[in-house]
Amino acid sequence: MIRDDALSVRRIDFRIVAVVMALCALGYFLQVSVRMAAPEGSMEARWDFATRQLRWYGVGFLAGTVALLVPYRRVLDRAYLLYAAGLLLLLLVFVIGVSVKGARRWIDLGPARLQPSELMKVATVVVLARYIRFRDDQRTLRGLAIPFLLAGVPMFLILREPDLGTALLFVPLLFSVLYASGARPKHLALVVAMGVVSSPVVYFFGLRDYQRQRVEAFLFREELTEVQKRQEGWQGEQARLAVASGGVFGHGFAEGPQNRAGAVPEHQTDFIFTVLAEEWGLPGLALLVGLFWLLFWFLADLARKCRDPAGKILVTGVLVLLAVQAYVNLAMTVGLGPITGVPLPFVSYGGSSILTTFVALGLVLNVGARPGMDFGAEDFA
Amino acid sequence: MLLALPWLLFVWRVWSLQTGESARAARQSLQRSFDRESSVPPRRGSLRDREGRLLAWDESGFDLLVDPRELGVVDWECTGCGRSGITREELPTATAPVMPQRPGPPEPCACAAPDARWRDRAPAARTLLAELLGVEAATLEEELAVLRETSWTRALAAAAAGRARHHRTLLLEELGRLRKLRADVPRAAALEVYAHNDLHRGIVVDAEPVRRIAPDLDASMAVLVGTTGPVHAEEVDRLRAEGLSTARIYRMRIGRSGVERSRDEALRGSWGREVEVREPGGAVVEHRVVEEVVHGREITLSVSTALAEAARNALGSRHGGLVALDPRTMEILALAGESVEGFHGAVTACMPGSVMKPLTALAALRAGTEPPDGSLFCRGRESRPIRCTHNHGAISLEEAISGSCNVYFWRAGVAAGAEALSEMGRLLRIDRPYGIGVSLEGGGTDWSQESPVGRPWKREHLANLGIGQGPILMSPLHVAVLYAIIANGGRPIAPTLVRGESDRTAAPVLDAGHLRRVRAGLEATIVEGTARNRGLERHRAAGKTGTAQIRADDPSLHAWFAGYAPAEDPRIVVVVVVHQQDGSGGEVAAPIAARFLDAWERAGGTR
Repeated sequence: MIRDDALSVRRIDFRIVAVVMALCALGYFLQVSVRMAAPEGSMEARWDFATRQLRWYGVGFLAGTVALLVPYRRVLDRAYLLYAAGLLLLLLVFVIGVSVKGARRWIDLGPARLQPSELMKVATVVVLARYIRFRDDQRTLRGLAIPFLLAGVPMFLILREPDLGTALLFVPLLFSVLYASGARPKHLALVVAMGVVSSPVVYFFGLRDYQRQRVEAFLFREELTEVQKRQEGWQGEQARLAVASGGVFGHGFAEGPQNRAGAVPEHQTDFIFTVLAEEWGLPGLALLVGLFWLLFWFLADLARKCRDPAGKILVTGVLVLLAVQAYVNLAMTVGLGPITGVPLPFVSYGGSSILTTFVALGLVLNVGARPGMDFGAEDFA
Repeated sequence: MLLALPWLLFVWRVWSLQTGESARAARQSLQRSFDRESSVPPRRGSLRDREGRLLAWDESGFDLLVDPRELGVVDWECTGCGRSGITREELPTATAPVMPQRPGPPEPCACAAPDARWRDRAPAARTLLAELLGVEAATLEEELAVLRETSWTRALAAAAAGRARHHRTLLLEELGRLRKLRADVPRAAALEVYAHNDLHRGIVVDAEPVRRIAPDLDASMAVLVGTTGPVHAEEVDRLRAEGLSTARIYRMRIGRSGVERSRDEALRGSWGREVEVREPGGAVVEHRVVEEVVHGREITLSVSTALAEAARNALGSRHGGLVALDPRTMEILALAGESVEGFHGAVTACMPGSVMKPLTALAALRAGTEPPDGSLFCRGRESRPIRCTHNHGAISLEEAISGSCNVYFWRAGVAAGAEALSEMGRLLRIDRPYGIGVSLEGGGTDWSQESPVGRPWKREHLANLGIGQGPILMSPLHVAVLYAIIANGGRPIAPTLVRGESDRTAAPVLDAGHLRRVRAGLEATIVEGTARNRGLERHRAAGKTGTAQIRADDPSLHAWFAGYAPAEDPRIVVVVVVHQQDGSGGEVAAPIAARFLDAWERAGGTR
């Protein structure tokens, strides 16, 4: 009966492929804009992000294709192995990791650097799907313990890297996956309440100083003087300035003053939205948000149609991962959230992020393209 | 649907940022931050001597400053592929303010070269800089290290003193202060740092004008030129009232003495303001001048370096001073003399002795109380109450001047009275210092005030005054002005150190007939009087010698000579004083004046 596991090209959701390609094209053009606007001798001018980004899209496409070709149930069968490998890599970061700006998040692989936390996000979605696949004890409070542990261990490790932004992604991910798999909202609310109560403890003992400063810079922005604003919330201030200066129609391709000045640090990766907003104005905003919403719509549609619980969880997990990541990223660039190192999926420069999102996407398409999903619910009812 | 809410919030946020007021404000603030306004300091006017030789001028000098934040930046270069990178010192966090370590190399370079490694580019550049500065490389490194350590120590202390939440801000603020590494460095070193700033991170070139003074300037000339210096705290308010900003006041230098001070406002010029319109990337698009800079005016002094040298040679090693001026314009040609702390031979006052006698004569003539010719009989050393040097016998005013007869002049002084003497002093402008801008300038006696020994004037004091002793102090400059007014037909022009500025319209204040008599006496002095055979005849000079007793019990004297040449059309006035000599004015001072006039004539006289 597993014969039906063969890939059906006809069933691949090409709407999703088209939207993602549009997002990637947008990302590439933004990188070209960064390169063209960069002042001579600057890091952006010497380090051609656009071409590198194109290379990463290629690598991501290959990896995504592999993820599409391998039947996702095989992947689920080996979920614990994947998860263990991911954890091992995370632990390895603490041993041989490379640190940049005080955070150890990368493993050096020679030509490129790997960020295990990125891979771990997908591995966690997969392992959650695998764990919940054949059981329904998540309907009890006790049954929630194992999923929480599965998500909690990598989350804790990532938090200690430290990488607050990525770690926090696991929270909505876990909750939405549990909700999609039928956990009771009452139980989930209870856990949230416990989290709220314990958050001061985490804030004062679990976070590094600079993380606290960033959160404070966000929360207490109004109290800061001009000088302090410049120094503590400088990045955010410059980013908001860039977005606001764009106006309704933007400055035009490679013409944004903040982009040309390189005034917003990390504007090629985490703060790529500032380039878009500054140069493309409100049409750029409409394009980006429209593309993301289309993507989420198609993913939700896929999840709704999927009748294999594990597949459903997989798609939901990836959807939540992308949505939360995109939102957290965009919110931080306009001062709606604290500044964390979360890239904008598909658009921001960054190898690990692109690789992971493409693999996740491959898995999602994989779920949609296996006719075998039709046997799902009834067979196990 | 729940998912859409935060997204709508985000869209609303971008919408509200990009439309309306905040977008406009952002554009404006970006415009402001890219345009750089700067003050352009004026160049201080230079000073030249009569012949056009530069005495003092502004030159661009270079200071090297240090930005302590940037000293923590290490510039790495890969030996394999040449890729370069930068690591910055991690600032210590607020709760653990420990001294940070020098940053290590970044992650290894990805290039495939077998022995690729990171190399710090700074030390090689520093070695070159040290060579250009003329110091040992180790010394420079140490100076930089000391500056870095002290600024970090101060910054950490400042941060620790503040509230915990502001630690980082305070730290950055304090670290951001530029500190001076070296002042007035060689041009080559400044250019090296300026051109290769990527190699000299943390070192900043600052161009500041430096006042230079001609290196071989004579000390007595240097006193006239004067000095410049930074503004003192108590002067800030006065300058601010002139409309100067505090930042400018602390950057500028003002005249502190000499002509630098007396002509400070003309020399200073006024500041300019300009805006550099810059592209966001930093490239300068346009220079826009908001306010034109007005450089300081160049000032030509009336003094001549050549004559100052002639005066110095004429004086030789004697203590004293020499003043030469042009009686037609009252421009001071030379103001020479020994110049030590608190004393300048040409402007410090002392007792004039007999060179004062023409003034007594003029006062008496003006009052109409001069002793009639032949009415007095000088018995020389037998005379009382004041002795004379020779037996002059029955004597006229002209003979009294040429023979310097004390008997005639104490009588004339008493006869004229304090009022007439004081009026003549005022007319001949010897009653107060001239304010020519030499800080040591002294002298001037205003006899309209009560006498130094009480009012009314006693006869013996008036008698002493008549022969230039007692309650009177005159500087050589005063004496020179007195003789210049006699020489130029009685026109009291104010003396000046600046060429072409004197007021030549002054009307004569002395009666021509009186002047003729006095000048006849002065001419006779050279031919047959106290200054005969001293070498002054060949210049057709006229003049008067003087020998002032310092104290009754002190044998040393002030030897004076004051005169002008040529007698019929005076073009130069010379006054010489030699202090504490065992010799009369005729023996000591007159030959010096003659030697000076020789040099003056050789130089072509006064144009």
